[in-house]
Amino acid sequence: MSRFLKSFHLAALSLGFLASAAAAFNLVIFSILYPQVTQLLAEGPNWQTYGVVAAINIIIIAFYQLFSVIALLAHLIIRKETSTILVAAIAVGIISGLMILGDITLLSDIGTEYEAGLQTRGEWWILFASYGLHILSLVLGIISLLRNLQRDPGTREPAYKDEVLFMSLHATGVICGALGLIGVTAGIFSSLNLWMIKRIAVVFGLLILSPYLVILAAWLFRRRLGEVNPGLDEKQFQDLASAGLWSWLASLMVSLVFFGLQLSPFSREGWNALWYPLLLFLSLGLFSSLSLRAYRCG
Amino acid sequence: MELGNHLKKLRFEHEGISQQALANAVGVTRLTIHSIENEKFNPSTLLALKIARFFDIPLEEVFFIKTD
Repeated sequence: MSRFLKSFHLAALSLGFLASAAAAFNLVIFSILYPQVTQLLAEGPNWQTYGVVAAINIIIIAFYQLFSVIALLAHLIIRKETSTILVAAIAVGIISGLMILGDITLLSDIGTEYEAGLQTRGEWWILFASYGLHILSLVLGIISLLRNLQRDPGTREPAYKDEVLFMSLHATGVICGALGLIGVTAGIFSSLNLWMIKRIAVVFGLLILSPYLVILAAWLFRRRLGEVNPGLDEKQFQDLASAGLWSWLASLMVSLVFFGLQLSPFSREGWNALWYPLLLFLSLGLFSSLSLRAYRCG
Repeated sequence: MELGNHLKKLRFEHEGISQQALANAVGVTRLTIHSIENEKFNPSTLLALKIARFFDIPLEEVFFIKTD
């Protein structure tokens, strides 16, 4: 492992341990504040201090996300090694990193709505869910960073025709597709207003797609560098064609079922806003999983 | 009729070159060579010819049609 990559991994790992403590500390602060704010009690004497500490902790977590995603992506591109946990760490790391912006907006909303005497339970639960994602990202990130540091590079032959980004892209597609479908299902069965569902669908759709777009950008970046030949080989083309055919047919079938349900008495209001995210994440998840399966097993 | 091959044997006879080295020489990925070796993927004529040329032997000595 090059000195640059190792230093970046060590920096990300140190930040990871610090960020774990920061996330735990913030969860404690939020757990203290949650009952007081939701019951609209008077402002406590320590709230200002809590706010400053939480802000510092958020900055630490943000720095960790930035360093870990760069370190893991650099490992993927430079060392040309991939694994399910590495791809999951990158995908969840990117979503979690972008969710930090959501945390800041949520905390600001909670503050404003508390001052206006409004209820903020919904915002708090999204904030806690976001911290669940941060913790998952910390666990996956730290494990991946440690594994990368311990891995012996050996005398592996360099690959001129790359397969790592191909597999990583599709593994990310599977993760993003699955997360997207979970989100769409939650949207369909939620009791939120239609305008709220539409707004959330756009923001979360982009958020969930972001890791896929990052890996795709990394692939295009490598192609531009021209150091290796990142073009597809004939088996990859064949696998993509076969996966494309099956995912197209499956998407048509599911869309037909969805369309039928929309016309049925079981139709729900939120469905009208979610047909496109459903089709997008279903096609992405199916296409990526079938491509990956065909390439690895076929 | 299925396509068989002597790829694994040929690799060992040629100083035991790795799948990756062969993949690099013929311009495909390691997993593609692995799939051809395990008879899960039939290469194109061009790729089959490239593999035969790499080992410097006629095509029929690398690939053959399996008869029941």
